[in-house]
Amino acid sequence: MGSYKLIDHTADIGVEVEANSIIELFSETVNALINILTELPPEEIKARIGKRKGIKEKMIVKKDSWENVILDLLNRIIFLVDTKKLVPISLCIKEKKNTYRFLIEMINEPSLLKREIKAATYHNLKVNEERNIYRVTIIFDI
Amino acid sequence: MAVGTIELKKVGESLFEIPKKGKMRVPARVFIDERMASSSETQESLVQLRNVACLPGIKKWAIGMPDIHYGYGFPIGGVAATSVDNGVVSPGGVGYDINCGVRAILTNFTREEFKKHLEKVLREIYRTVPAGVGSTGIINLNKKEHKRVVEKGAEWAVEKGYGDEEDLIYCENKGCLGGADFADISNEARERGKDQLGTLGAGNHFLEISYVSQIFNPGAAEVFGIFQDQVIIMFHTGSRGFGYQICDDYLRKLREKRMFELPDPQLVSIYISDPLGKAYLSAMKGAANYAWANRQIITRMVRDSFRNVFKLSPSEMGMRVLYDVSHNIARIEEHDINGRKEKVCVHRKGATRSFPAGSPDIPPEYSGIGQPVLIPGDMGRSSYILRGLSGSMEKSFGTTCHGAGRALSRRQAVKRAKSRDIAGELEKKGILVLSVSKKTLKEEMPEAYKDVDEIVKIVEENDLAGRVAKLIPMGVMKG
Repeated sequence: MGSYKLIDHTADIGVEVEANSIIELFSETVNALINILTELPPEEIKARIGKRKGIKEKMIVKKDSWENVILDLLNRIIFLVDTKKLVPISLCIKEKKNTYRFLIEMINEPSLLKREIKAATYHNLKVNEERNIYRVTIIFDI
Repeated sequence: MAVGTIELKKVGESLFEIPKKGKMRVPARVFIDERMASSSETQESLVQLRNVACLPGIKKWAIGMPDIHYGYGFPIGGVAATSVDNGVVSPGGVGYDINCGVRAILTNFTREEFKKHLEKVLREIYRTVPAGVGSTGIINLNKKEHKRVVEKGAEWAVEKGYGDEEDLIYCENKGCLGGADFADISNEARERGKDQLGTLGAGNHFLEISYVSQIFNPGAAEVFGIFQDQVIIMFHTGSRGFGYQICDDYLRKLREKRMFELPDPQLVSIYISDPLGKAYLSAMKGAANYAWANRQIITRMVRDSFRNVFKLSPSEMGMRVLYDVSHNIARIEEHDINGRKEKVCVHRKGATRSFPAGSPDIPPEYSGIGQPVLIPGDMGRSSYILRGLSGSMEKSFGTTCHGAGRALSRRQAVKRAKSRDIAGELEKKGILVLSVSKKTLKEEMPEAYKDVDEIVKIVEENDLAGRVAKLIPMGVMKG
C-alpha cells in the first residue's frame, strides 16, 4: 500500500510519496495533494462528506515520462480547484495502451479548502524505482 | 571555504564567489556575510544558484541576493542575465507568480493622529479587499476586457476608474510591458484569471499599514515625499492564478522540446530567439500586466477604505503611489558586459530592480536619487524603503534584495508556534493583525523570517541599494 509524507521546504511544501506500482504512485500523489489543500487526510475528507456523490472530471494523459504524467495530473487538479472551487476526493485510474485515463471525483465544498497551491513544480522531479518500490518527491509552490 | 559540496571564495565585503566548475558556464556570486556563508541552511540555495550558472548564454555571474533561500529551480533571491542573441529564457527563473511585487502608497497622516482610526481603517480594508484561499474579485473579465488587461496593464485599470494617470508614472515600466499578445495565452490561463483581479491572495501576500520610524537619508526622503512618523500602506501580491497557469503552460511546452541538459528540470529553458521563447515572453508580459492591473485595483480599494473612514478625498489625504516594484520577472535591459553595452534578459526571481540615479527608466522626479526599492521585512519587526545605487549596475545587473527571506520552513514555523496566539502577541507590541487563517499567521510569524536589518546592511555595504527610511508595522492584513 502506498504512502506519502509531508516534508520541510523553506519557502514551499514538499511531499515524499512511495508506492508498490506506478499506478499506486499516481494515486498517492493525489492523496498528498488533497492533504495539502485541505490540511486533512483523504480518509477524513471522505468520512466528513459521507455518501455524497461528487462531480467526475475525466482526464486522458498520453503515456509520457512518469514525471510528466504526475505533473500533468496534479496541475490539472490544481486548475480545477482554483477555477471551480471543487475539492478532489478520489481518483480512479485506467491504464490503456498509450494513455492513462484518470477519473477525478471532486466535491463542491469550498470551505474544506485551506491552502492555495500555485502549482506542482518540476524541481528535482524524478521517479525512482527499485525492487518494485516507486518513490518520488514533489515540491508544490504555495 | 566550503559549505557542503559548494566551494566559496571570498571576493569582497559580504560577497562570495562559487568558482566556475563542471557544467557551469559562469561563476556564481552571492551577497552574504560570513555567518550566512557558513550556515548549512544556505547550502541548498547555493546548489540551486550553481545550477543557474549552467543556463546557456548566461552573462558574468549567476547572482544570489542576501535574502537567498531555497526555492525550486532558481533559488529565491536569484538573478541571471542571459544574452538576447544566443541565450535562453527560463520560466522557472521568473516563477509561477509572475510579477509578484510590492506597492507603497503614501499618506499625509502621522502615526499619532492615525492611531485611533487604525482598527476602523484596517477592518474597512479587510472588508473591501478579497483575500485568502479561493478568493475572487468583483470584476468578471470577458474575453475582450481580459485582452485589454493583458495588453495595457495598470493603464487598463486607470481607464476603468481604478486610479489616476499619475499612478502609472510611479510603477516600474509605467505598469505595462509592451508586446504582450493575448493569442500566446491559453484558455486555461484565461479561465483561471477571469475573476481574480483585485484580490490579494493567500500565503505570504499581505497588506500592511506602517509608520516611518527612522529616516536615514533626509534628502532622498524629501524627494520621495516621506517624513518622520508618516503613515504608509504597503502591499504584496502578483498575477494570481493567471500567472501561475501561464508559467505551468510554458514549462509543459518547453519540456517537450528538451533542448538542453540542465541539472534541474525546473530550469527548462528555450532560446529567446526561438518562436516559443518569444511566445513565453509575450505571455509572461501579459501576466505581468495583469499583476500591475491587480495592484492598481487594490490601490483604489485602499483609497476607498480610507475615504469611507475619514470622509476625505485621496488627494486630501495625500494618498499618492510612492512606487510599485516587481520581484518575479524577466525583462530585456541593456547592461555593461565587459565594457560593452549589451541587451540581456534579466531574470529576477525574488529580487528587486534597483536602478540608480540617472537611469532613464525611473520617474523624472526620482532621477537624481535612484528608484525607490520596497523591502518588506516581517509583520512584527520592520520594513525598508531603499533607493537604487550605482553599485547594482556593476555587480548585480541593477538588482537588490526583495525582503527578509525565510529562515524557517512553514512546517517548522507552525511547530515552533505551537498553540501561541500570534495575533495576540503582535497586538501587545501595538500591531493589529487581521487574518483569514490562523495557520497562515503561524507560518508567517516574525521568527519565520531572517532579520531584515541584516539583509539591508549587506546590500548597502555593497552599494546595491541605500537606506532611505525604516517602517514599523501598525496593522497587518493577511490572506
